[in-house]
Amino acid sequence: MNQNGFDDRFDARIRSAHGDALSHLSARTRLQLQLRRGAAAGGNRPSAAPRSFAWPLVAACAVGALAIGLQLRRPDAPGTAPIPEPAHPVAFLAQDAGVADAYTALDESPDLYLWLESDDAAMLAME
Amino acid sequence: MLQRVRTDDDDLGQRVDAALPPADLDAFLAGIGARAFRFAELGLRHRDDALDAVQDAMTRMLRYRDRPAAEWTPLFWSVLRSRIVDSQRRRTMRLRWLVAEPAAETIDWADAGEDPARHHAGRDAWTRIAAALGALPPRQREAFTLRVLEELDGATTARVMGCSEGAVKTHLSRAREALKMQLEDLR
Repeated sequence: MNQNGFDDRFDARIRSAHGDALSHLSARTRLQLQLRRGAAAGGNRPSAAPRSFAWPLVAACAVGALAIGLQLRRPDAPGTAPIPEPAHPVAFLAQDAGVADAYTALDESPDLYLWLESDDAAMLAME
Repeated sequence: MLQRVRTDDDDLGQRVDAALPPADLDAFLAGIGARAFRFAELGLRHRDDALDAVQDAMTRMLRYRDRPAAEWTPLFWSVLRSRIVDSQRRRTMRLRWLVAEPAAETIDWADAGEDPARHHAGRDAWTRIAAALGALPPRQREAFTLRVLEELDGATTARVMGCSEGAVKTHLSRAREALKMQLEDLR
C-alpha cells in the first residue's frame, strides 16, 4: 500500500471516531445547542459576552478611584481645610530670649529681693 | 460543492450528504451545530466556551442569510474559527492578569446506553484523538480538522483559514505525521 493509501486509512479511522463522537453528544449539550441556535436566530449574543468588558470596567473604576484619591491628597485641592501653620520658629526663639533676659536681670539685681523684704511689699500684699 | 444537511437535531451522528443545499439558513445551522461544537471543543477544551463560540458564530451568520446557500459552509467555518481565536485571546489576557490556566475539561460524551463496552471504546478512542489534536499547533489542528473531519476541499479550507492552498497542504501533512506518532494503533 502506498503512502496515500496509508494516509487514507488513517484519515478514515479518525473520521469514523469523529462520527461516533458526533452521535454521542450529551443530552445537555444537545439541548444547549438547540436553545442557543434559537437565541442566535433571535439575534442574541452569548450570555458570556458581558464578561468581556467586565475587567476593563473594573480596571477603569480602580484607576478613577486612584485619581480621585491622589487629587484629594493635593494641598491646594478645593474643599480641603487649610492646615494651621505654627508660628514662625524665630518668634519662639525671640520670646524665649526675652524670658531669659528677665531672669538674668533678676539674678544680677538684688534690689527686687531687698524690696520684697521691705514693709512696702508687705503692705502691698495686705491690700 | 456538496452540502451536508440534517433533517433534525436528533440525527446528529447520521450524516446525510446531498447535492441539494439546505432549505434555509435555520436548517443549515441546525445541521452543522454538533460538528461546530466538536470543532470548538477541540480548540477551546471547555464546554461552555465552545457553546458560546458556536452561538456567537450562528448569530453572526444571520447577516449572511441573503448570500447563496453554497457560500454558507465556508462562511460559517471562517466565522467560527475567528470566534475561537478571539476566545482564546481573551482567555489568555484574562489569565495573564489572574491565575494559571485551568485544567482542560473532559470531553462531552453521552451516558452509556445499551452497549456499555462499545460506548467506552468509542469514548476512549475519541478522548485520545481529541488530546492528540489538542496538542497540535492551532493551524495544523485547523487544517486537519477542516480537511479530514469536515471534508472541505483544499480551496475552501484555504479560504476558511485565510492562507494559500499550499500552506494548507503543509499544515495538513505535518499534522498527520504528528498524529500518526501519537496514535500508532490507528495507523
